[in-house]
Amino acid sequence: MTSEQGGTGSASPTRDELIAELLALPAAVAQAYHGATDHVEHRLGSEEHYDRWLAAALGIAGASFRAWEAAAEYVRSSPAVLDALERPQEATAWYESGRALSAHSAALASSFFRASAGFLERRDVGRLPAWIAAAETLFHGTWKSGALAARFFEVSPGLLDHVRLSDLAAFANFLDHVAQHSSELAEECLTMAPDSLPYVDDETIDTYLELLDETANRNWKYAKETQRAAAVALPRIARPERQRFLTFAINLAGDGGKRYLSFLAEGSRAVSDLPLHMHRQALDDFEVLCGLSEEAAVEFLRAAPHVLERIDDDNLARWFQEGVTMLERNEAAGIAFFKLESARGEALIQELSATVSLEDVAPILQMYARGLTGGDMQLRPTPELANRSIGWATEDRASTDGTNVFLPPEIALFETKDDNFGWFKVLCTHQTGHLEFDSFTFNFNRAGNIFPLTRPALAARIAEQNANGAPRGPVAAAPNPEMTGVTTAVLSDYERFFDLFPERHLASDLFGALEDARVDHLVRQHYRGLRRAYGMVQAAAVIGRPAPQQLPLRMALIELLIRMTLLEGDKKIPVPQSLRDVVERMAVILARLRHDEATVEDSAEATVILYRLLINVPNTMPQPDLDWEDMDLDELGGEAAQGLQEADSAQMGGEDFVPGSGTEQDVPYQSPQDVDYRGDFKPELVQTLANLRKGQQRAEDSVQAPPLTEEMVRQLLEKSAEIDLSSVVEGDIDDPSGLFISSLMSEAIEGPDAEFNDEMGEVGSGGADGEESEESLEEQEQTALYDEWDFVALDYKPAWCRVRESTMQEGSAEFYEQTIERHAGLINEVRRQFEMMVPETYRKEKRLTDGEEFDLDAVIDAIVQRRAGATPDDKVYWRRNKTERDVAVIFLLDMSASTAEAIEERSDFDDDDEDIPDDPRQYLFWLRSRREQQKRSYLRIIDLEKESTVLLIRALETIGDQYGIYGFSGYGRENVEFYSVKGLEEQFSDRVAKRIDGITPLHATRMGPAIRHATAKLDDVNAKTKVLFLISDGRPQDRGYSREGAEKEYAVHDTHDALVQAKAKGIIPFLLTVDRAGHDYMKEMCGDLPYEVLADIELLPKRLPQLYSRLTL
Amino acid sequence: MTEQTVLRDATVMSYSEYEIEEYTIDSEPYYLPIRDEVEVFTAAYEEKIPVILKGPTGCGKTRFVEYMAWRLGRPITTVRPDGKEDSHGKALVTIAAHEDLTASDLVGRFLLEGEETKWVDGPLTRAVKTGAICYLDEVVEARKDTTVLIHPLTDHRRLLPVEKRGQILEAADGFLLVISYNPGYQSALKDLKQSTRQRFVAMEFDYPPREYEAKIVLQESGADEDSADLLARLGEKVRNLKEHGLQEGVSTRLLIYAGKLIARGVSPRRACDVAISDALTDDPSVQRSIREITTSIFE
Repeated sequence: MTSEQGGTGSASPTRDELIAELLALPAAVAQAYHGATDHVEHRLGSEEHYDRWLAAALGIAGASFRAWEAAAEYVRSSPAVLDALERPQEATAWYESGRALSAHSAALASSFFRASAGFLERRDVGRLPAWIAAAETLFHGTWKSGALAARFFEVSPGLLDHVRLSDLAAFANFLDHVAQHSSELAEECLTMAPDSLPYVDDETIDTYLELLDETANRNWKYAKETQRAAAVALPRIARPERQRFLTFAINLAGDGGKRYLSFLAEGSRAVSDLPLHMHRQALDDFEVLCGLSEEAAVEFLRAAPHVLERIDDDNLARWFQEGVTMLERNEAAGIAFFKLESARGEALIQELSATVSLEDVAPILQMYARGLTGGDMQLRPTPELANRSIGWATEDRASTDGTNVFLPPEIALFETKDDNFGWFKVLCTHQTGHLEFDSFTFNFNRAGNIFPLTRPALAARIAEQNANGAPRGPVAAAPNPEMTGVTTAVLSDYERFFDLFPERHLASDLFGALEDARVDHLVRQHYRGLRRAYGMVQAAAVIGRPAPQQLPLRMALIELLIRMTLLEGDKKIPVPQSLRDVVERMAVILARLRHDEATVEDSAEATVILYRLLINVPNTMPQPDLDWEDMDLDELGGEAAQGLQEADSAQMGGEDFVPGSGTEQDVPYQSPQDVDYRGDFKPELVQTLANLRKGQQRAEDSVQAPPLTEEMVRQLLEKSAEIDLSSVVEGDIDDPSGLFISSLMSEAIEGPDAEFNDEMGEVGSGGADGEESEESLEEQEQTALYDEWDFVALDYKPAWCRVRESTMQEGSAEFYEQTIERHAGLINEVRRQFEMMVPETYRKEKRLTDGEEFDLDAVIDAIVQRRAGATPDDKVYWRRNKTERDVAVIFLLDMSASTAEAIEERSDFDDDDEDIPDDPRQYLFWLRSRREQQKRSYLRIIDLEKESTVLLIRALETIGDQYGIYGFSGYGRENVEFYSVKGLEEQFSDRVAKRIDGITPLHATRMGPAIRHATAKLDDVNAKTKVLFLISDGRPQDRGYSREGAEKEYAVHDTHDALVQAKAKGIIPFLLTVDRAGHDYMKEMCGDLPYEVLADIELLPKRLPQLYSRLTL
Repeated sequence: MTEQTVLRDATVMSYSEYEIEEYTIDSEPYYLPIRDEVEVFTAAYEEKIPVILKGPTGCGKTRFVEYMAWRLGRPITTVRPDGKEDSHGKALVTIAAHEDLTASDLVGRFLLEGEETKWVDGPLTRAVKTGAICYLDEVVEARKDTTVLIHPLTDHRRLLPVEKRGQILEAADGFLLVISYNPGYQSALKDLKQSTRQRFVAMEFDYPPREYEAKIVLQESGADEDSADLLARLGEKVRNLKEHGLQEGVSTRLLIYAGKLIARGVSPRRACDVAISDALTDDPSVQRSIREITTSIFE
């Protein structure tokens, strides 16, 4: 103000004076002036305006100490500002504002001027005061607040693209609030604003600011996190839902904690995993749940994307409703439901889901397939086959290796379970069809039933031609041209067959299509019930196939052949009229092959015929004059065409096997697109494998083995059309073919089943788990999944614990022998006791009211009595009663770390009279040996468990009960270790004795799954009396084997449930604990099931057999 | 057949009662020889060599014995007063062995009558006396002490000691002991003793090959040829499941039942459910597997 007054008060200075004055200011101003003046003059147009501009600069410079800096900035930014203004006159308002500001703080004014252009580009000059006011709320005269306000000027213009000025003011308020605590934090918040504000629209901004305010009020330290979280969260949410989402966050922030932050982060991530159209529904549901349980609501959001992967939108609503119902009834159950930790929830999803997973249907389909094929083949998921790196690469297409059938892990193609299952069934039946209808027993020299045998003659002819050096055309680079005339050793009949063809790929594709067609035909003939489903699948298989019109000619014809194999009757295919006779010939051959008597050898002959036909068709891009016309399949392969019998199939020779002289336009031949349901058909590989195995067997039988060499396999690898090495082996392995060969050879040695001995679906009640088979290298480990009981939610957590079963490592047999020595007396006593338990086989029971025959003595007595007038006894029969002892028992030993605890000394080792050596080295040695001795001198709980086991084994062997001994421990639900010392069905041996020594204290005690696993084992055996005998040293505990607020009870309840389940399966569970404090929880854990707390641990070896005999009598 | 006739039949329902040794098979039972079993059995009969019939349940062992009884008895043909010929089969005494089958059950026992005991011959004794074929079905089910009883009967002596009466019976001429057992599901405990085993010639039976079985089903069930074929095919497939979930393959008998139901108008899939998958096992997943095979084979 002052300078302006000064300016008007005196006579207006001339321009030169003004300029001189300006240039007198520090150099920066002059510099700025020179840079800006031309542009400014030009923009302002009139002299008057220009003078006023100059005067303003001086005014600003004079506003305060160091205001010249602001003036310099003013001058420097003027061109841009003037550009941004509609009318130059408006500039007055701008520099008036600036001058006022520079009176406060030159630095702030500088920032203002610098940022002005940005602002004015977005808002008109009239709004400047509001903007400045917003910045000024941040400025409290301190250096820090000044810096913040300056930064605000700098950042805020950009924000105006997204928010209103008033919102900016509100944001400034928030910043100011934060700045009261920490201006650094406020500045960071400001810096981050451009990341989040762009996602906030007009409706949302209020809520957003409210969130910022709200959280800053509760805890200013979260200000930055809030912003950051919001910046991440907002873009993930569908725009219309953003406001609501933020409202939820505000509500969650109510408790002053950080929960809202994780909600912002995780909630938004969960929502973003949902399709956009589901956002509203999900948040609606979330809102409903918030009213019931915030935790459940959060879990719901987290779970929803996963659930949606398995069921569709409508079913999600049903699932949600079910969860709400559960939540209303029992909060814990509801939360578990939405956490996807509820067996009921899992069952519901299963029910609602249309996806069919192989794991679920494998037992059924495997039996189905076995029924069809008559072998004891296995049904395995396809990745397993691919992992064996023996030639199969795809992980999602069905196949067979000649022994087993491989199916994709799941099918979710259709909307209903039934349809998906039907697809599985068709896949499976096609593969078993290859087995049932003998695709893999192809014999090169055997004649088929339909076509005359030409292969051997053909082979001879070709060999002859090769020997004569007859030209084989340009593609003579076919199999081993240098080996002409030499009969190469072949690994399979298929190899020999495909060796006939210079264009091996073409032959392989033809044969594949024809053989598939033959198998399909036979399947449809033999399994009429499948025809409909088959027809559907076949018709569907045509959809999405490449149009033959677009393909190079030869490939187009193959494509037509495949279509012919899929379609039938009045279906039409496009036929190029100029090649009509070729197509008709194909149709005829195919029609003849589709015969109930056709064998795989017929497919081979058909291949020869069609190969000869197609090899002469150049693989050029289709010409426009081909004249494609849709034709009925009936018409093509029909009677009219039958006249075209292959009269020439007898005219043999290898010459016509060579491709016609290729033209320039020839396109490299490519195999046709696969037919999904037919999967991967690799006859050559399968037969090779089978032969390798056979050879191996023969070698083992020391009968003359065929010369099976790596070289042969390598050759096969190089020429076979079935193996695409690059896809078989992933990653960069130096020698992929080496890997292939070694896998193939080891496959031949070990047989296909080496890695999965156990049948699927029989491991345990919790469902089998077949993924683990690759670990067989190290040690055969089987895993099974079990549910876990959540007593708060009153529901099972589905497939919660993974029990990993392995065989106990062997130690030395010494322990076993020593124990027997030490306890010889006890052993004898126990044995006598046990021998008495073995019942007599037959016992004659007399004096029965009913029986197999009269007891004549009793009858006579009765008659005498009657004659004497007394009431006779009517118990005059006898019967022989057969009592058999039929017991199966599992001893389950607690191997938790706590069993390492020492029990009182039992040592006869006295340590008072040792000579302690003086020499330090000797001393160390002495110390170590002494320690070792000491270590042996006390007994641990586990040692007693082991001793008892030995005693029991001795006793059990005498009475012949079926028994198994297992130990368990583990850490966490994923690793419940289950060690087999002696399997239920295993015979006692030295190895078992050694394994007892291997029992050592390990980790934690998750009893529930161990009991369930043992129960499953007992459930599998047939015995009248089944006992599960658990020996432990304390309460069950493990990481995560608890629940908030019920740490100890949770494990106890789960264990109780496992015991009750065992009981329900007719097993007598018995718990023996050596924990003297056991009474408090054993009651709860066992309920009315029998248990014993052993007061004196030393009694264990003696007590155990006693208890056992009492339990099983 | 109309409903009335059924009702009328029901009201006049009658039954026949035979003394056990007088039961003969008078009309030819349907039996389709698979190999030379008829000739072998006839020879054994002529030479009085006891026979073991081994084979799974429902494969036709009993039917074979019935057929042979009829066939071997045919020479005894009587001419009735009205001039028609009446051909009698041999008397066939069938005894189903079970766990509690005692020696008394076979040989006979004292019963009380008034104040006195009265001896009553058991079925084996009767067969021995009348020279009938005695067919001891599922013999391993009987207790071992019971099976020993037949030892003297089954060697050259052909004697039946009746201990309780202090008698020894010499078998009548036409007497032949035939026993059957199913090696499949017997546990080792219930195996036949060697001393018993080695008194018999053994004839192995198995389910007939598909073509034969189709004929049998066709003949016995009255179903159409097509259904009979498919049933035989189904039988073949289901039998593949033996040891893979099923203890025993499906018997020809069950296939015939299914055929009969089909002939009565029950839909083939349904007939197979009730007569085959559900009849064979209680395990739902095995039932389901069989059902899948059924639905693949039958439309």
